[in-house]
Amino acid sequence: MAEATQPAGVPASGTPAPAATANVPDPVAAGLWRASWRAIKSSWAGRLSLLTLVLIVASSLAAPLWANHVADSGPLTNHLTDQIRLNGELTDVVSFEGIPIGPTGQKRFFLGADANGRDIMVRLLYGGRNSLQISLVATTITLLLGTLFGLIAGFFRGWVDSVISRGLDILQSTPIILLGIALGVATALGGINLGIVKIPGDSLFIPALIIGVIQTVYVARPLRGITLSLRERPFVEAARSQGATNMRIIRREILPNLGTSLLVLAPIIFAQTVSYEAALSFLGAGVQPPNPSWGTLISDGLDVLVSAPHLTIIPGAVLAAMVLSLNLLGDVVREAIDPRGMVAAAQKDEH
Amino acid sequence: MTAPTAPTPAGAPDAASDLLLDIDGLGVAFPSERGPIHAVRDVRLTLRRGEVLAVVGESGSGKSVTALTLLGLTRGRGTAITGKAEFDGIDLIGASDSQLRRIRGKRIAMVFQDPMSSLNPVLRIGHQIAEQIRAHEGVGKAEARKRTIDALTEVGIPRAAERVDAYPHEFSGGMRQRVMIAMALVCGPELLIADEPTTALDVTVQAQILDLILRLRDERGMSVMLVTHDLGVVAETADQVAVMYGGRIVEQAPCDELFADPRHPYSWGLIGSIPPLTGAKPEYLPTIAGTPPSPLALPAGCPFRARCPHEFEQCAEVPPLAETAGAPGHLDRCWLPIDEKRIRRAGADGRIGLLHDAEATTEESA
Amino acid sequence: MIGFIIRRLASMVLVLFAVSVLVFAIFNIIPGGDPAVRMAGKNPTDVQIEAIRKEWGFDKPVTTQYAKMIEKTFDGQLISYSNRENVLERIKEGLPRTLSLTFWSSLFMLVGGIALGMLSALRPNSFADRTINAIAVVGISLPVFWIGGLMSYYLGSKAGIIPAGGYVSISEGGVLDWFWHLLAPSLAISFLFIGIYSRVLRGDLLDALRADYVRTAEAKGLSKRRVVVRHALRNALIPMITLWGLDVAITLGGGAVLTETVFDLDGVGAYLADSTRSLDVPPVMAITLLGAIAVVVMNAIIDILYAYLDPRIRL
Repeated sequence: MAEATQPAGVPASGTPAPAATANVPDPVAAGLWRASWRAIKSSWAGRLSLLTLVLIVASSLAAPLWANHVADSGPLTNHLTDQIRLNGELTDVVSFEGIPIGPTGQKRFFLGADANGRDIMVRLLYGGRNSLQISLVATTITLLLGTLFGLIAGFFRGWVDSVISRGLDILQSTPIILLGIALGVATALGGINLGIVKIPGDSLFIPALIIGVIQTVYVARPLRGITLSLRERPFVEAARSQGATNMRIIRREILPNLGTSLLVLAPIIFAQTVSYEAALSFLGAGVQPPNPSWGTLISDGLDVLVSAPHLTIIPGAVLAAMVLSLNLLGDVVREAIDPRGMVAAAQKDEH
Repeated sequence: MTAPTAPTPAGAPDAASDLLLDIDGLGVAFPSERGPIHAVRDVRLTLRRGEVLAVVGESGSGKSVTALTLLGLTRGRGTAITGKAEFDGIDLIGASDSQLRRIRGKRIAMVFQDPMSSLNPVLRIGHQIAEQIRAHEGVGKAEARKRTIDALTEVGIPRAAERVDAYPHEFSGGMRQRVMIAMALVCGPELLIADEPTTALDVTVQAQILDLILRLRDERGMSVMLVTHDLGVVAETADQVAVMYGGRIVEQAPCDELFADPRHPYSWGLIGSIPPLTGAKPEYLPTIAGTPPSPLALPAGCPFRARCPHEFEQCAEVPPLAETAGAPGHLDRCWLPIDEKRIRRAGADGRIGLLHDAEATTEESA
Repeated sequence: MIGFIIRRLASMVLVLFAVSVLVFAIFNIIPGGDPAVRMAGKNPTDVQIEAIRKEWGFDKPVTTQYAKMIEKTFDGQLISYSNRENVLERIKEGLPRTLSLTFWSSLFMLVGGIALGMLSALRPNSFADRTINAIAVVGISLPVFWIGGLMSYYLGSKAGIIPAGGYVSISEGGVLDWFWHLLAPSLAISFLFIGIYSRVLRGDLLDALRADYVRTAEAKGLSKRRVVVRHALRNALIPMITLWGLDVAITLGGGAVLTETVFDLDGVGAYLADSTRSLDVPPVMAITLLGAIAVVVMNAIIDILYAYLDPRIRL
C-alpha cells in the first residue's frame, strides 16, 4: 500500500477529506436514543412531528373516554331514527332523504354522522385506534422477522443466504399490495385456522399479521447487507479467535450493532405500515366493516364526497398527518445517527 | 505532436521574463461549523518556464489546496481566496469561471493522485481525452480521436489504437496514470500540476511515471509543479523546492541547495528521516515527534512551534519568509540566526538536530 | 449474452412457478369458502354443488387443479368463476388502459424525479433544496387513494378542469383526449414516486459530484453542464433507474390498484381488485402471473441498461 512505499517518514498526503469509510454505522453507543431525542428536540420538524404524533396517539387512546363520556355513543352504534337538539331545535340525525347531519360542534355528533347515523368523531377516534394497533403489531412483526431473516442470511451466507435471498426476490417481484389484498380477502371470510390457534375473520390481528409478514423484505434486505459487512469487522474476528460460538457472536457482537439500522428503519417502516393498512382497508381487504379504520372511513367518505366532503377530508388528513410525522421523524433520526446514509446504502445495494 | 514549444534544457531557467507562475500572499480558508479553516496562508511561489517546482509537505500542509486553487477547483460556497496568483500575466484568483475554464486543461493541466478513482469508470478513456480536446479546440471527432491515439502512444501505452476504446477498469494502475498524463498533456499545456502522481502506484511504476513526466518536460519545455510528500521523488526531479507546513511555506530553495544546507528545523527533520543509501545503517531513523497541527487549531506564531525542539520566545511571532545572506533564492521562515542553525543542525546527533522520540521532545520543549 | 438470456429465462420460470403456487395456495389452502358452494348461488342443493364440483374439477387433487389452471392460463382458456367470462379476453380489454396509465405515470416520475433531484443536489441546503425535500416528504406521505379521490372530485367533477375519471382510447378521442383523461391519475401516482426518486437521486448525485473523476472533468476545462450531465449524473442515475424500472413493472402488473379504482380506469389492477374481493381465483392467477412476467422482463431490461450505463458490469 501507499504507506509501505514511502521512503520518508512523512505520512501519506491527500486533500483534506473525511477519513473513515467503513461500510457499517459505527458500533452502538448507548447514546443512540439520546442522540435521536436531541435531534428531534432541536429541529422544528422534529418537534412538530413528535407533537402531531403524540396528539394522534393520545386522542386514539382516549377514544373510549370520548365515546362514553362526551358523545355518549359507540363506534358501531346506529342513530338512524334519533333526533338531537341543535340550536334549540330537534333535528334528525339522518334526514328522510337519507342525508346525515353535518358537523355540530357539540358533544354529540361533533363531526356529524354518517349514512347509518353513526357518530363520525367516535368512529374517527376508534378508527385511529384500530389503525394504530394494527400498525404497531405489524411493524413489530416486520422488524422481528426482518431482523431474523436478514441476520441469518447475512451471517451464515452460503445456501441459507441463497434460499432466503431468492425468496425475498420472489416476494419483491410480485406487486406486494396485491398479495396483501389476496391474503386479506381470503382470510377475512374464514379467519385463520392453524389447528391450535384460531383467529376469527374479523380480528384486527389478521391484517396486522399480513402486513407484518409481507413487509419483511424491506427490513431483511438492508439488515442482510449490514450483517454481511459486520461479520468481516475486526471485533467479530477477535471474538471468533477467542472461541466464541456463532450464537454468542450474534448475540454479543452483531445484534447490538444492528441497533442504528433498526432505529433508522423503524419510523419509516411504521409510516409505510400505516399507509398500507389504510390502503388494504380502503379496498376491503383490511379492517372489516362495520369496524372503523382510517382506510374504511375514507372509503365510506368517498361515496358521499358530494354531500359531505368532510367525511373524506378529515380522516385522510389525520392519516396523512400521521404518515408525514413518522416520515419526518424518521428523517431527523436518520440524520442524527446515520449521517453518512449507511442504512440507505444497504437498502439500495440490494436491488 | 501538437506541442510547438521548443525544448528547453532541464533546470536551466532563462531570464526573469520567463516567469510563468507568480503566486504571492495566497490564502485559502474553508468555512466550517467551528469557524474558517485556514488551509493555506501567505504562500509565495514563482515558477519559470521549463522548471520543475516541487511542493513538499505532510498531509494537511496545504500543498494540494494550493495546487487546486490555481485551477479554481477550491472555489465554492464560502471559500475565501485571497492574495495573488498570476499565470502568464492572467489573474487566476479574479478570473471568471468561464475564463478559468478556458485555461484549465488547455494551458494548465493537472494529474491527480489516484488514477483508480480519477478517471470516470463509465466512459471510454478515448472519449474522456477527446472531450477535452473538443472542449478547447474546434476540431472534429475524427481529428480528436487521432490526436487521442497519438497522445496515448506518446505516454507509452501499447496498441493505443485499440486501447483507446477501452474503459478505465481494463487498465492497470500505472497504465491509468499514463492515461491521466496523456489526458493532461493532450492540449499542450504550459504548466503541468502533478498532485502526488506516483503515491498510489507500485515502486517500479513510480519511477517510470516520473521519467515520463521529466521526458515530456524536456521535449516540450513545459513547467511542472510537483506536489508530493516524497523527498526521494523531489531529489530526483525538482529544480526548485518549497517546503510547506501548517498552510505556510517554511523553506524554499533550489533543490541541491535544500538538500545540502537545509535551514528550517522542519526540513532537517524531513531530510533526516530518509535512510542513507550508503554506509552503516543507523539503528533507528529519526522521526519528527508529534503530529501535524489541526488546521482548526494552529498555534499562534510559527506553525512548527509545537513540535520544534529549538523553540524560543521569538517563535510566538510568525517569522518572515526571508533570504539569508550568501544564498540568493534560498528563503526560510525561522527566527534562528543562520550560524546558530548550522551549529544546532550539526550538533545534535549527526546532521539532524531533532530528538528521536516523543518523550525526549516533550521534556526538551516543556 | 446467451448465458444471460438463459439465466433470465430460468429465473423467470422459477419466479412464475413460485408466484403461481403462492397465489394458488392462498386461495385453496387457506379456507376462504368452497368455490363450488359460492358458484351454486342461493340455496343450492347438494346435487347442484356436486355437479359444479365435477364440472370445474374441484373434486380432483389440488396438484391436478393447479396444473389444469396453469395450462388454461397459457392456452387462453381460463374462465372466471364468478361470471364465466374469458379471463384473458377481459385482461386484453383492461391492458391498454393500464399500459396508458403506466406510460404517462412512469414518464412523469422519471422526468420529475430527475429534475427535482438535480435541482436539490446542485444547490444543497438552499431554499430550493429544502422546499423540494419538503414536497418530497409530503408526496411520500399522502395516501394516493385519498389525494386521488379529492383530485377527481374537486378538480374534475366540481371545477371541471380535468376529467373526473374514466378512460378514452386514442381511437375514440384522439391523442389529446387520451392524455387529458390520464393526466390526473398519472399525477396522483407520480407524487409518491417523484418524492422517492428525487431523494435517491439527490444523495447519489451529491456523492458523484464529490467524486475524483468529477474533479478531473472540471480540471479538463469542460463546461459545468457537461461535467454535471456527462460525468456526475450518468453515474448517479444508475440506482434511481433501477428503482424506476421495478416500479414501472409493478404498475404494469396491476400494482396501481388504488389509482385505477379511484379514477374509475377499469384497467388490469381494478379487475384484479374486483376479482380478489369475489375470491375469483382464475383472474387473480392470470394477472399476478402477468405482473411477475412484467417484473422479470423489466429486471432483465434494467440489467441490460445497467451494463450499458456501467461497463464494469458484465451480463
